[in-house]
Amino acid sequence: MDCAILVEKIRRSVALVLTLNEKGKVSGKGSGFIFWKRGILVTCNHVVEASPIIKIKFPDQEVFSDAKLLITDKEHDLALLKFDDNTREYLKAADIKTVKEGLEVVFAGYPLTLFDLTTHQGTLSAITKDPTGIITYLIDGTVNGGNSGCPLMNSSGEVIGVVNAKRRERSDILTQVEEMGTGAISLYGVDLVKIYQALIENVQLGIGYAVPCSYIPAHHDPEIDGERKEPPSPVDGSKEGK
Amino acid sequence: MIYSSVFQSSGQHLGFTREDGYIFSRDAAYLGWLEEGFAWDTEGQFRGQVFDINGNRYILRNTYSVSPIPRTPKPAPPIPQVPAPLPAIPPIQLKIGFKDGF
Repeated sequence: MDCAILVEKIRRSVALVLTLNEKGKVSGKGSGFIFWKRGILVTCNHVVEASPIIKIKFPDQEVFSDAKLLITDKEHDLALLKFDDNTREYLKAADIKTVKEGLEVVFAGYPLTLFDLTTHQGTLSAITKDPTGIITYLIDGTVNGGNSGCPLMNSSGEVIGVVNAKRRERSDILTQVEEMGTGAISLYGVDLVKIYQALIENVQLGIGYAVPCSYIPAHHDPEIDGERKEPPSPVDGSKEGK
Repeated sequence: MIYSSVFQSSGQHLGFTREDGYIFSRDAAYLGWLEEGFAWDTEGQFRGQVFDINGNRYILRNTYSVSPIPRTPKPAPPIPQVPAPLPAIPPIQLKIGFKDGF
């Protein structure tokens, strides 16, 4: 599918997610998309974790609306939100058998401080497992803060995963700088720690992470769903995970 | 409570894992916790896996694999009375990519 057609197809289903603190100030930002069924938004747990107020906005909306946290899955960094709008279509999952390394992928969300739906193309560069056995997709693409929770899709706009992080090599020296108190090093009155921390935060190595969509918890509402639909296994013929 | 010793690859005695999963340094400082053999630090960051090598236990991390999603940090438990620190043991040679978790 042409990418422009794909974006048009998914546009009304991918939302900007903002979290607010008790005082009503913005405390975090991410992306989310409607999945499984109408009125349910998938995002990353770290986007909405411990936030008392969650607001969402789709590209065709002028104002933010409320969303309620339904389910969190900290192990896979996933969360389901419920919102009150059943007019929007949900995105469908891709056939797991078609998800292979080298697949052309598209992801669309709200990176950095942008409030406009922003689309990127890339490659599913690796399908790997972390040491605890959880499958992780590596994406060759420009994933940035704010992309967390956006759908990772094949070229037909079918969801294969949820983008949850950009790749950054942890190193002892960088960790020290990250944890250093601001003002610890200054030069001519300029806070170098803040500069270093901003540089570390903005380093773009071109590799992002995504969680396979098969880990997205199924939300079952008997009144709406009837029979429960279980998510597909992330690998053929066997149960994966821890 | 039962405490089991953990060493660093240098042979230094790192500290102890307690039967409830908590990890303490040799001088009883809280380092993190174990879940199903995986170690997480006080910030919830992944620190590695427990390995039994030549009858001694080590927490080692493969730096070539992707990092798991951080866990929610666990509050520090009360400072325990840990057993006396052990003397160093002979160092071990780690495979390429592996390093001490702590």
